[in-house]
Amino acid sequence: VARLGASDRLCHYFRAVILALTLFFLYSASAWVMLRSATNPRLSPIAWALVVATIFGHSDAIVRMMRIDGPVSIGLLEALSLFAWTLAILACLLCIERQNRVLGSILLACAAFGAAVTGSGRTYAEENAPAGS
Amino acid sequence: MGATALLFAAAVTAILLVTLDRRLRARRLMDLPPLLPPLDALERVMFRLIAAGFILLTLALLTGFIFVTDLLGQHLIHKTVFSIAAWVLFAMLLFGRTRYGWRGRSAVRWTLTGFGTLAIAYFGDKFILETLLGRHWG
Repeated sequence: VARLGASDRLCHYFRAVILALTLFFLYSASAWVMLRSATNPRLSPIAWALVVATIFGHSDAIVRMMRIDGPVSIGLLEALSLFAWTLAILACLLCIERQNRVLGSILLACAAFGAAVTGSGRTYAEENAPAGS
Repeated sequence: MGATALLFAAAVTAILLVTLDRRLRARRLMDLPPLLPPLDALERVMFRLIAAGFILLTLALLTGFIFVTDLLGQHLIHKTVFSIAAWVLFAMLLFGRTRYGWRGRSAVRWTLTGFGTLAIAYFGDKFILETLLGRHWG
């Protein structure tokens, strides 16, 4: 069982904060560009590229959180992150039809808040660390 | 998770419907966002989302009953009760829509109540057990 040192813990939290901020800004930007693309069709390719890149980034973060750090249990924060990922996929499907882009943008903005908690849950090492460490 | 996302989207649509409806009733037509679809189109989207979410929720409950062996031991009793309550609410809403043509504010109220119940089932249950009672399980 891995014991987490102070530097490891600090590194984990630093990584989690960077990840949260990146995902939050990417989702927010996606929502904003998608909303603008409802009236300005020239922005559509940028909006789609941004959304797809954000979803890939989020998927990678979830897979790392669940596979590389160990088999974490799905707690409240992990559930919120997965919920945000599902919302983003649903928003993509809704945005295919131009008149639903406002709704899709609102869902992407909501996903930004859910994605901001990605990686901030307890890792496998933390869950299994002996008491007092 | 898919059902919760679909029904969350339906709840967001319901809030949009109420906002648009209020502005129309107050005759504040200039305040209407130009990008939004008409009210009836938005309502159709809401009911499509509810129908899709209801199907997924039914599948989730059915598979849950197959795989769960001990409701009390796995701390799933609250989640199950609230999920079934949400399922009943959405079933009644869809029945009311097809049989009696429910729409407008009553449909919005049912949608928000149903999603609230489902949110308590999933997130509220986790919040109380993990954050307030400090219980973790696999």
